[in-house]
Amino acid sequence: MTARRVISRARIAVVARTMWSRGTGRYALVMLGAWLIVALVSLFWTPQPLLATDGYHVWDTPSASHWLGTDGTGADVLSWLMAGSRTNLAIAALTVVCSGALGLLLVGLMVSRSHALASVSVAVVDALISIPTVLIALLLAVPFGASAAVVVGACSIAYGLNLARVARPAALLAARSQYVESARSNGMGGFGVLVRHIVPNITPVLAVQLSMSAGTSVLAEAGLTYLGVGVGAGVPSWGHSLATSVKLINVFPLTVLWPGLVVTLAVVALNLFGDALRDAADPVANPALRTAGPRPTHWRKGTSDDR
Amino acid sequence: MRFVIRRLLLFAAALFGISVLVFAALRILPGDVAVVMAGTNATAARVAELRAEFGLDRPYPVQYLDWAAGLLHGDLGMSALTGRAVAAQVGRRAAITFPLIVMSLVVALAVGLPLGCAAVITRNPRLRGFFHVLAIAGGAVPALWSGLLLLLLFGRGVGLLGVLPSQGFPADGWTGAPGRAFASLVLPAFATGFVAAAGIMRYTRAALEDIAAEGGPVDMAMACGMTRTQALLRVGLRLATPQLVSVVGLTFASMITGVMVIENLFALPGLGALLVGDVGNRDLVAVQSELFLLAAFFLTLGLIIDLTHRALDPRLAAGEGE
Amino acid sequence: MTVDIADLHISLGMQEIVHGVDLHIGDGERVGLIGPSGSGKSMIAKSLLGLLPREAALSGAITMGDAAILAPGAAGDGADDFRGGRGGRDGRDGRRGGSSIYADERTLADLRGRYVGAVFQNPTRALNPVMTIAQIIGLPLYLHYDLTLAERVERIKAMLDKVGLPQDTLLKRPHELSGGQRQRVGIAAALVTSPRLIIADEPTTALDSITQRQIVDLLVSLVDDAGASMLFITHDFAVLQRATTRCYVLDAGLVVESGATAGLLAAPKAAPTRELVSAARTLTLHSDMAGMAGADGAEDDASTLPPSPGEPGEAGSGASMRLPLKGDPAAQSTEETKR
Repeated sequence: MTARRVISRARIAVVARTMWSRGTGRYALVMLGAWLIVALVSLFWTPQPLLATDGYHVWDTPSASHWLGTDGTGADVLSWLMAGSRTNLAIAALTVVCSGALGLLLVGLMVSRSHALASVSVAVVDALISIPTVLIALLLAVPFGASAAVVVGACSIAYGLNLARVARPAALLAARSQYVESARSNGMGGFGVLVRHIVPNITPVLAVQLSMSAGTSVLAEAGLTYLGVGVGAGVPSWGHSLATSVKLINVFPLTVLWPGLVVTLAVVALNLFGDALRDAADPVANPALRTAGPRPTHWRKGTSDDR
Repeated sequence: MRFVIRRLLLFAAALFGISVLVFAALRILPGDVAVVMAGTNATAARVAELRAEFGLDRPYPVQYLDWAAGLLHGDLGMSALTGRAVAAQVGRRAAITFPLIVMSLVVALAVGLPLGCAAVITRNPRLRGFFHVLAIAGGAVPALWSGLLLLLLFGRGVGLLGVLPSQGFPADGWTGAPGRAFASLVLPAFATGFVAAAGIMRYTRAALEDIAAEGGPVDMAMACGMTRTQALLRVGLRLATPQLVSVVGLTFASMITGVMVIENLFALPGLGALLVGDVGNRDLVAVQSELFLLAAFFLTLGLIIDLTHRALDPRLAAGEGE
Repeated sequence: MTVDIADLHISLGMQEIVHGVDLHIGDGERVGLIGPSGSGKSMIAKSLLGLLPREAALSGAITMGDAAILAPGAAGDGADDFRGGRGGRDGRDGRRGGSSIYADERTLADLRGRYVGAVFQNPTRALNPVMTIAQIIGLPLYLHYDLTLAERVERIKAMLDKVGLPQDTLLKRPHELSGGQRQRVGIAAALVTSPRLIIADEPTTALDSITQRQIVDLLVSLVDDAGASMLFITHDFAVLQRATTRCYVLDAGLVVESGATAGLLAAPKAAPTRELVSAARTLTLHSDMAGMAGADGAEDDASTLPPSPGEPGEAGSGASMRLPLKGDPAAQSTEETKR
């Protein structure tokens, strides 16, 4: 894990092929692909217009025109789920970017050569890590009101802290290594060291943690929206659909299944994606990434006559 | 001992930091508190009145010191909306939320620990795959959904086997009808407990596998004459306890979103409902004290977990490592 | 106890690591198994103990004393054994690899610690950190023998004497001991039940060069006193020469040469062995100097200990013949010492 990775097009192809060749990786790729496609399609087309409320068909059971039924205002459940995939995709992507940035910043501080800076940032992370996401969201919701920004902000803070804590040991090992020392003596600055030497060393941790943070952001969105501090009213999201489906429980209980199922399948895909990516991109676990073995060939067979 | 003192100092510093953070977030972030509290169509006079009533016209440091001094004396202030003491409200609600959290944790441990152990013990690759999928899928279920599914199965009125109360909490609480109070928390506790169990299972498996690594104490115990199962359960599990204690702490914190959602779904008047209501009503004094109180609770929990973790590992307890 | 291994194949996942090894250990004989990292020597040791990772599959035959650990079964009839019978509990199922039947977990566990003792490579990792030294050494006694506490303590104390540890280590925990002392504890735990076979899997690799010699000499004298057999695994010729009378050279999962250790070192026949031995000779000079430099660090360990049985007086002179073989085992071992 100490060797720096060279990211080339060939490597990406090998990694993608390896992920595809395994069941969990293939599931993750298929689901995430489907999510992306549905999100794109929903920009142009949904089975029913989002705002078309069908006053005569409220709380409707699934039918040819409303595949998953309608909610209390007569809006089409499937259309809202499809449109919701857009919002959740944006929230997940923003969470990955923001929590990644915050996490890397904290990692950089935690392994910095200034002892005071390092110990203060470690202490801050240790203390704040025990604050639940929902409290951060509630705190943010007071000034900002219910909005997707609250979800992204709360998740980014919570998972940025988490990422920093999980990635610290590997980062510390890299920061104290001789190649970083030599890079520093060659005049490389703190930021350069972080990007060139520390990030490549914590890439496996990053892959797993960031995809998990994306998954958890989907879960958090569902919970927070239901509590009324997530995305605003009238904005399509899976959390919105799930919260709406609660009211359907007495009318058509099976409809309750769909939004929750969508969330669960998406989160599973995100969690598996990180694991699969780590395994496929790891030269130790993935023989396809290795070049010729270190052992000279005459050491292998052909010496059995000596036995 | 030095560690304990350092940790306590850090705890005190964190408490102070959180109180400043909560205070600052509610003042300095956009929007005048009094305007927000008064609502959208309030007169200027009403805003000024509110500002004076809650001392919001004073400089921030004075306000902060006043609030902090109150906290130190156990005075959490008055709710702007109900006019009742925040402390009393929190206490009454906590009597529902904390039993719920503890019950959820019991469910999570009772389900997650044995499954996590089984996932390491089994030699059957197919069973291992099943456990893997179970842990991943279980952790991906939104608490709201698991609550809904349980309602559909067991909730009185809506479920297939309507055996358990699905809505509300007895008005006379634990003193009046402890049996009914307990029953009304069973479904909510399972709803959050099952989801948390997946996390516990994953961590248990990871911790055990880590300890059972080649050439470690589990191998040594086997070399002394234990079977693999014995070695994992007697040596591995004991060595995993410090990590598992940390995991329980993390689970506590990660469960709280689910608990709030579930309280809402099952119409339980707990802390979650209180907090969400106060945030919705812009009841800043109450929100400020409640958020601080909860944050302080989780900081205390973190402190206890860290100290227990250390006490359980003789290498750390002796001050080696770090 | 005699050990006979015939045509042993071990594979991990899709990859076969050991390709048909034959190996014999006579009663009371000390046999070495040497080879570069990754040659499969640890796998062979683990197959004797039943400590292979759970995804490992193996075939061939292993007999230890009278017990057949791995029996070549007729193809097909092993499958029923694997699924049915044996109480149906996972850990107790026998494992089937190829067409051979591996002993079930209970049988192996009864052998381990009673008839077969194991000394591990890295005592810092192997010793249970939450147990006292007395509990660690006493564990095999506790598991296999019906002794009173007093009897057990007596045996443990006698064992502490034998491995040259002071009696006050009894209630200490592993982290309070030095690396050398920890390995003495490991040896005591392996030998406390007077097993008939000791399997030492690179027992000195994690130690500095002076402690290495003390530990090897201690192990040899204790094994000989007990009249037990020993399988000693190493990648270090100097250690091999001290510890064994006969040895097998393993490379890439195959035995390339075997014979009396001294003769084999003097006149290696197989190409890989020649390469290993000549590499060792050219490196001797360097590692001697390295050994001197390392001697300072080892001093405190040696001085806090009473002289162990079989300790030769000339500690410090010609200290190291530790010779890195392939890849960079030297770097690897220093890394482990640091841990």
